Amino acid sequence: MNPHVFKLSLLRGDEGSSQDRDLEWLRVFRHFDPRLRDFFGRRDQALPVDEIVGEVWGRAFLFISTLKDTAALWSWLTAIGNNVIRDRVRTHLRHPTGSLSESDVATAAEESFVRAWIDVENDIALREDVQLLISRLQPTDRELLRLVAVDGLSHDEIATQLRLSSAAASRQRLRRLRVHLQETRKSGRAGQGATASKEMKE
Amino acid sequence: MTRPFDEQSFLGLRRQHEDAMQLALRGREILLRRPAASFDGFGHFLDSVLPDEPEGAAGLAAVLHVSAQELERLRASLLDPLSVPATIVALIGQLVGLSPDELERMVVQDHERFSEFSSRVSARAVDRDTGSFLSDLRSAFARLAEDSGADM
Repeated sequence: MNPHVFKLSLLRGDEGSSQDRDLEWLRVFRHFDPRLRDFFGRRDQALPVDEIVGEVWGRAFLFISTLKDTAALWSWLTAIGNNVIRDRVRTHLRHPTGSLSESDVATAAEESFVRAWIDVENDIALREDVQLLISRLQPTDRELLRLVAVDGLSHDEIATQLRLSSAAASRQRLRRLRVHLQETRKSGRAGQGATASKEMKE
Repeated sequence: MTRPFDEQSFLGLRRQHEDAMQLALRGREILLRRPAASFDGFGHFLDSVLPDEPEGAAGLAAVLHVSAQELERLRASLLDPLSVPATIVALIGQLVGLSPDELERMVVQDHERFSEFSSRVSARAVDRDTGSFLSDLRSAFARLAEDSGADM
């Protein structure tokens, strides 16, 4: 049996005893937990990785019944992690504790989203790469990233804020930004300043 | 210093969520057999998906961030869903596989039963409270939907 193939019916609880389910989840934990820590932990301790990872697992337990294929586990877990971080950023901005600056947490959230967009499980982007990619974005793309990653606005709200014609236009803009970041990362052009808005004008 | 999140913590967390995971499966199974519209409110639906054993309901209540008593009262339609934080109602709805429209309809059905008996509150105030709660409920539901693996 491939050690990295997981049985969804066991994880969901459709079959097996509670002990069988514990064992299968433990396999998932052993495979993904170190990767999650690596993924969410490279931010100068701006966010507490132990708490974030714990929250990711809690949400994974709650919503595993929505997952259709364990091949998507990594993407799903990182998406949940980004949501956890965004929730924390929002809470922090509403109730600042003084331990982190507004800009630290917002930057951490932006970096986390970009990492999820450009990363694959075995291609861990360096923090410097991500920072460089973000720093080279046009102001309009940077604003879009901020609205998605930090403010967590819906596409309707983003369309209103950026004066786009519709939510579909906002979705399209975000898709272009993701493709642009992925391609720039692949071709190692992070420093050359090409942008999604310049390359693909509506 | 807080304890690191290790394998032991992970297994403890998983066991805490066992009842919630079973609830998610049961909710989806029931909705496959019976349309949400056939339930006469949120309490009626909860009664068909929540475990009968008190221990199961208590474990579930902890994960859902409500007291076991509140959960039982919701189930028995003895508690107005609008008196519970919208985030919790949204979590229950999302967990069992209800759509936002179905959840909203069920919540309003139960709430209206309570407001019918409330002579001290003006209809306008009730409407305003309901509107604000439903708006919070929709936002909370949309947020939780982002944690779903359905689109992966």
